Amino acid sequence: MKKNKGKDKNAFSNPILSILLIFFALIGGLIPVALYKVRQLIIDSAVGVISNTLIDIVILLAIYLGVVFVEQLLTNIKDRILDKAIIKQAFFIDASLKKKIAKVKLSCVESQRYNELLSETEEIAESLTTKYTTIYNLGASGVYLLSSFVVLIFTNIFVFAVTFVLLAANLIINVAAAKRTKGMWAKYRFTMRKANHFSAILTDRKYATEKKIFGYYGYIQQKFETEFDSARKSNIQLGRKRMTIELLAEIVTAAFSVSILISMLFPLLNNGITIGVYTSLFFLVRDVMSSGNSICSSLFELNSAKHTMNSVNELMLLPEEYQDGVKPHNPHIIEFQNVSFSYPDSEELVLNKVSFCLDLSKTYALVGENGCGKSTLVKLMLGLYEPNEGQILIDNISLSEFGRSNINKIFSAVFQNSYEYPLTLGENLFLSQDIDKDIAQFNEVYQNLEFTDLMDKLPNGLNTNLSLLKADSVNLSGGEWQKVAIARCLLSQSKMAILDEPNAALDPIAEVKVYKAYEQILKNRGTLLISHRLGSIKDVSEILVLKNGRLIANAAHDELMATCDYYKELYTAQRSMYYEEKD
Amino acid sequence: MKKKTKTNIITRSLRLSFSIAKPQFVLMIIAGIVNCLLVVLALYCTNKIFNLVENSYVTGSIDNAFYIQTGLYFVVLLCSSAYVFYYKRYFVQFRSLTSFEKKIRTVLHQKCNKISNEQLEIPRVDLYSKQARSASMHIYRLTEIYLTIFISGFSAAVTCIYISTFNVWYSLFFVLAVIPSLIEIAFNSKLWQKYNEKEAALFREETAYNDAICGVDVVKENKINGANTILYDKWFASRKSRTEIENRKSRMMCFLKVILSVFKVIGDNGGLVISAVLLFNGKVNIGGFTAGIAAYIAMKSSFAVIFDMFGNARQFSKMVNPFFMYEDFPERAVDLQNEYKFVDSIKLNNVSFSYENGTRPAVDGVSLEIKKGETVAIVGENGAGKTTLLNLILGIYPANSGNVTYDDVDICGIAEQTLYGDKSVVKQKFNKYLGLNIRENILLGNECDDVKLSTVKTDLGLDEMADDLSLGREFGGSELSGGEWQKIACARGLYKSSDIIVLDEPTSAIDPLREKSLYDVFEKYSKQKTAIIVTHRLGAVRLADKIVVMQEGKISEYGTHEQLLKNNGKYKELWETQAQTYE
Repeated sequence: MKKNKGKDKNAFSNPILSILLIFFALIGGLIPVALYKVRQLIIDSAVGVISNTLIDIVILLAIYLGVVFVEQLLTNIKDRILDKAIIKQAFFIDASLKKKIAKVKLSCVESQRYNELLSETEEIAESLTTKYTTIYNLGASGVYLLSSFVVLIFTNIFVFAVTFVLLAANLIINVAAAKRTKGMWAKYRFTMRKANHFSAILTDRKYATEKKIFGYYGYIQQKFETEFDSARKSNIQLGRKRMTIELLAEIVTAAFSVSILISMLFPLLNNGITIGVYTSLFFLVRDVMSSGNSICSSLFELNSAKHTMNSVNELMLLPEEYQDGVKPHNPHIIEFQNVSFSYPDSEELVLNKVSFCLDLSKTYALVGENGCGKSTLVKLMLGLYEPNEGQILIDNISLSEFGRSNINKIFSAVFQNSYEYPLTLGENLFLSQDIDKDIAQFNEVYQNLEFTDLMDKLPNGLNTNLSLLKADSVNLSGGEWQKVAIARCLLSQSKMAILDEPNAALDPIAEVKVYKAYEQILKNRGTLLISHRLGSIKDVSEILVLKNGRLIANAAHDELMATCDYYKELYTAQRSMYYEEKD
Repeated sequence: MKKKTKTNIITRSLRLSFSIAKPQFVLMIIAGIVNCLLVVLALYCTNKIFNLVENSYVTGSIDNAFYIQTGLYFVVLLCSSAYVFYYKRYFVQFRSLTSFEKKIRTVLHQKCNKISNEQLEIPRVDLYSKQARSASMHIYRLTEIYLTIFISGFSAAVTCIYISTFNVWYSLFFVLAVIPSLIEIAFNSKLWQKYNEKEAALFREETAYNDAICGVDVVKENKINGANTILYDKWFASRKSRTEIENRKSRMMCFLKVILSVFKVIGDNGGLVISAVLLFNGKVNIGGFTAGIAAYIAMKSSFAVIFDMFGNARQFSKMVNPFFMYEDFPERAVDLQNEYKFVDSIKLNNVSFSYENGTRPAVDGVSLEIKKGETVAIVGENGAGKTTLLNLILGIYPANSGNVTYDDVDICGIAEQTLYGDKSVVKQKFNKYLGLNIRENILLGNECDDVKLSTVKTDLGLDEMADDLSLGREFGGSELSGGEWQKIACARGLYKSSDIIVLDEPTSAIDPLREKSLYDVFEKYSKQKTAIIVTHRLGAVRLADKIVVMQEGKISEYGTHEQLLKNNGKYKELWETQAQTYE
């Protein structure tokens, strides 16, 4: 919390800025009172209570306009100063958030809270504007109210007392109400997110076919309406709370202004005050009350801005991944020692005392049924999660000591669905590396992966934009994107490539080509293949068989067929689809 | 031409708004007019009250009329408060707006449901539907804007006419009060247009990079690929340029405001000067003076609203455009044959189909007959047109040339509900229905038959999962693996009663042991049905009655497994590549 408050201040920590703003707030608060005084004099001299010459009126009007002009200028300058600081500050916070998000541990990212925080920090600039303008206005209105109070005290102590009590009551009610609505906001956001999700099912194109075949339009529409109505209900409740308070304050204000009209009539008739004072006082009290009321209701705004800032702070405090650490020197072996793991908020052991040793220059395969822990094992190996028990060692040094950038030098990975980065092809291929250096290597990959079709499509070769952002960009198909991801992995300098079912969407011929390309390019590097097609992985030096989070066997294919019943069962089942009659 | 489309959009927006939320907008007009009468009434009261006060001041006694007037004034103030706080801030913001949102979203959902499928295939359609969704609320705003312009204009005119009855010079207000707004307009004119366009383009880029950094799906890959630096740099660059533009805009705004502040002061305070001079000359009394000032303030704010709204109207009529573009998407015909029962055979006669951006037809002159009860497999390389052929058979896409008939009835003539009523499908790109539980995911609104549901779940190995297990971590449910999601998709397809079942790569993410038994399950379920299956796993194809081999949009081979192996063609090549791995 402390650390982030420091950051929060950054653009606003300049003392000159603060002094300037305080100065402006002072002037801005005092001017209306001065104007009140001049206005009163104008009326008095116009109706002839005090000296009654044209010159007087003209001078008073000139003074009035002059003061207004100065106020106008000051307001403009203040707006500019605030604007500039807010723009700078929003940029600064945005940038720190982006930097932070890149480092946050995966376990935090894969939680519901992270999603909430992310959506809550989206409108940071708006809430900064709200925050600082509200704070400024609070200051300026504070000065205005104080100086008006002074005027009121000298005019009529009774009017002052009532005004003061009413405003104080309003303030207290508002603060209390703002606190109470906090939970309602969270509920509103959650149900609205759900309603939007159902709405997306009804409008996104990927759902179109299933929507028609299963005819669920009416059903999901119903769900949408239920969620939307519930969101709407909490929204209306919030609105009603706020409206009730504001309306109440307005009614009290109206009653009070009218009672001033009546009660001040008596001192007027007794010559206690002039008609100028009477008239202007009426407007002053209205003004003071309404600016007091708006301060109170601006506390609501401040509250939601505060909520955003709290989310920012919470995000900034999420635990980070270790970025830099021990530099690997041609690492040889990765060892899992009794590794157990369960996800946060879950007691189920996804991995249970898993131990094995891999030579980083050989080829391995990992097989097992869905949900047996394969993906989790990969996540642990990549240092994305840390084991609850046991340890993962690379050449006897704990994996966690290497840090992200160094782990990436040891492993690279391709997953089932690769992200389509809105960058050029070259940037997509060499995400973390210098493009110029690796062109020679690219050519090798290019030939082995049969990239030709793809390259023919691209007018500017490696410099073609693949995002839809730029006018000259080219859109790739899913299969082509997958090829890009595979090429990226092959081009990386990592010691071992982890291929988590990258071929599921490829046809058999393309699959064989890809595996051949791996063999060609990954000559001296290790590979960990995760595939459901047992036929295509049986040539690897060792196959790890996972079942219900336990490593039940690790050996070469032939040995497994002889010793591991489970593996044999899997393999024969698949083989029988091709060679039934020979069984 | 351009002008015509603009008016067209405005009339369409107004018509749509009134058609879905007539009472609300009628109420808005009535409330607006009532409020403008309240303004006049308040002026009347102020005038009367201060005149009575002046009288009392002279005579030294209070007239009873004074109390009546202040009472009336109090009621007027209450009504005005109710208008602002109950109607505008609460009723409109929290009730009308959300109820309109629900209705217009439903309009969008319905539209999307009616859009013909080949239109949905255009990738841009998602972009359109997203834009249409954000545009939908602007329709409310646009309608509100036009109504407000009307009401404020009316209000300013009525106020001016009323106040001119005090003194003809007050009609000058009408000219003076416009000045501040005209100045505002000077700021918002074309000067900003080029900045705004630039800013919008930068913002789009920034959002794309932001998604690439923050998206929950992508974080894992970013870490492994070390992509964060390049993405951050890209994001930083666009964010920085946008910040600079923002800053430049703010600076110019300040500069202009300072220059124009003289006029602004005159415009803001012209009313006071005129009133004071008239008061001094005895042309109006103190009541006329106060009423004059109040009227001036009211007119000024009316004009401010009007000009503000004109600016918004221009902007918003551009912003609602995507909604109507989406509304104009071609729809599938509705008045089609509803009585139809599939009995004998599906025939494709020389069917061709091309995608909008395709270089060659995805399906090219295909003729095929599928008899009722047959199991037909479609195989081929990626991009051979398998999925497109399926969609043609299902009637999801209409053929560009040739036709698809069911028992000699052209499917283009069959109504959607009938057409899809007897079909079920398991898609390769299946959807995850987050926010629904397992039962809801499988039924998707179909009637619940507990026995059938539990049989399907057992057959697919989902029986260990509770029916009411809620899914999707975003909504506080459990997260499943890709394979488990695919099993749910299979369960959905098998649960639905159907005569024709289509399986498009139904096991791509499912583990080997399950895969074999899954195909057994599929066989069991498709016994009484016509089944069409697309798969790369040729092992599963062998048992099909007929195998269709697709190559570049054409059928290259057709027959049983044994026949095709003898053919020595593409099928044999595919088969052997795969079977070899299991030797």
